[in-house]
Amino acid sequence: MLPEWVSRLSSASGPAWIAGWSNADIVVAALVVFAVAFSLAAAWTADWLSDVAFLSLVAGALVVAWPAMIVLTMASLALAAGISFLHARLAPDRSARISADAERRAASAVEEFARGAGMSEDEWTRLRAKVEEGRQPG
Amino acid sequence: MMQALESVARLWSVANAAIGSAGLSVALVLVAGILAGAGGMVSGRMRLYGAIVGGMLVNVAVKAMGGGFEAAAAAMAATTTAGFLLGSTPFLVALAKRTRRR
Repeated sequence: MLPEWVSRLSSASGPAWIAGWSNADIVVAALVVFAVAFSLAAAWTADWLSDVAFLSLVAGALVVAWPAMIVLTMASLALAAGISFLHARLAPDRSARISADAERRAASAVEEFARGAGMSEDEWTRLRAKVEEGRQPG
Repeated sequence: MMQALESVARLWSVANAAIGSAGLSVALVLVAGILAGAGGMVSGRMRLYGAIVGGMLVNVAVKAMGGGFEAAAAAMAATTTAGFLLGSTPFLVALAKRTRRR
């Protein structure tokens, strides 16, 4: 059985949009789905699991009151940071590969934007070299 | 179908009344468009996710200003759609230009 304070917190958080569920119940359920899907997405590098993690937060946030939405957002950010930290410790190679892939995607998106904004090939190469130079340690 | 659209339009007006300012509503739709456009630079799926995040900002604003769950959900759906279309405009223009060049 759950401790007394859990049921008190659940009833004090107010009713959600779904009949019979409180805001706290929905927040906990959404966070559990998010944590499981996000952890598996990190372990298997599966895009569809990231979708499940994101959509569980959206679905949860839709049916709770606004303070619970804020709690859900903050808690999910903390969970994501914690899982990412653990992932980097447990599987540094995979974590580095995911980071490099994300960086490559972001760089190509920025490059496309720069081209669309009228930046020439030379200007783009110079800018990239400057950014790389700034990243060098020391 | 028409009834569903009427009901969404009614809920949208309830949501706007809750927000209380047309300027803020337009600003939130623009934010959704910007988020969709920024996400669209990475991929089509990120464009949709950006629009959804913009829609959720409207959802929280409507709820915080006293609108009900239904009005907030209708406003979220409408803003997500508008934000996605707005965020897709530069993409569509670029696509049209590229097609014309070929």
